[in-house]
Amino acid sequence: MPNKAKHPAPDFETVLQQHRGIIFKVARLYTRNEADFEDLVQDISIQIWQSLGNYKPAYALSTWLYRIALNVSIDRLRREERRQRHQEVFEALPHTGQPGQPSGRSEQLYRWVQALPPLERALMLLYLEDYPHGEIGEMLGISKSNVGTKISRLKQRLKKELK
Amino acid sequence: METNDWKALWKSHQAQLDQNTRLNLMTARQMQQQAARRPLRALWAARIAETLVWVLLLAGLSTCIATFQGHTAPQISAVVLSLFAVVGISGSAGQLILLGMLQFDGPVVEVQVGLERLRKHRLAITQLLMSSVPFYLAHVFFWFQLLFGIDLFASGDPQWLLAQMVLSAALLPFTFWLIREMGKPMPRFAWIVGLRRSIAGERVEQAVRGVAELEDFSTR
Repeated sequence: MPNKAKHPAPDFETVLQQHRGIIFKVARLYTRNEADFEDLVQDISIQIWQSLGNYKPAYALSTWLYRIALNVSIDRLRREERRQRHQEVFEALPHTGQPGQPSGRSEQLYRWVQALPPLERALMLLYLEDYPHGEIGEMLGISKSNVGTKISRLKQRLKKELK
Repeated sequence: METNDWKALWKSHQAQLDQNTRLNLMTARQMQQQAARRPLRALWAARIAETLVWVLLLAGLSTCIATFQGHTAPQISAVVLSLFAVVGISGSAGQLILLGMLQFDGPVVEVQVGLERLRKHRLAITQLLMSSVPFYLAHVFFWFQLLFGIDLFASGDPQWLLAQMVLSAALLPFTFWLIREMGKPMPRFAWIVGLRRSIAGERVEQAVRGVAELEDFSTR
């Protein structure tokens, strides 16, 4: 279960250092090469820097960061790759975009998630990161029951496609 | 494999990827230098330019309204065209307000719908310009007065004028039906999609479908 402790807005560098994992995780999932990954990390960091003044301690910092990271990444992807469809991407992906990465079953799972359409990808990422349905719904802006339905469909597909 | 196995597999994979990631994040000072790379910068620039164009147009038309004293038809035409310019200004100003209100830390679907709506704004401009088609006589009267100093309504053949008015009236329902269809994600006829794509551009076409996809995601 992710750490849900609520914090007041800390300074930019502390946020980046303590939560770099979230930024890297999201940026990696929405890019397919090192250069794009670095670019996206930079874009997300800029957006975090620009949004820091809006941070409300009512949200867990991680939830807030996921929203920014996902919004920046999905927007970028929708602009650049909106024509690509799941199957095309899934078949074409040569690797997950990072050097020296692990391989095997986990690699298959990663590639499968990475090939999903942008919003389903976000949903699956948050689900695999163990966020409860209610919180996933809050991050994405959809109802808890809708999250449950979509996750159930995605799990069925996952089972079928990664037997 | 069960759900927990997938989750465990995912976590171990992420841990390994994290170990392989060697990337230094920027400091606050570097961020200040990079702040010009705002993701919505192009949209801001386009909307500000667009608002300025509409304001200049309205200023020009207002001057003409004042100068066309004694020529009723060209003056009324300038008023009609000014109304379109006012709608244009409010549309562009509204877009600037939307841009200012858009926060990337909002719920993902909401933010993405907002972004796609901003991107399909050119469609609203297209629809506005198209809605002026039945009022083409206003353009004709206005430009004849402005360029040649001729009040076409006062000096034109009454039968020709009547025919033009009938044509204008006939164009009215068709134009409004077309504008309505063009605003739909899936218009009834393929040629309307083609027309929309050719006038507003592929990006607008994608944004229209993008909004529909996002709304579909949040409800199904």
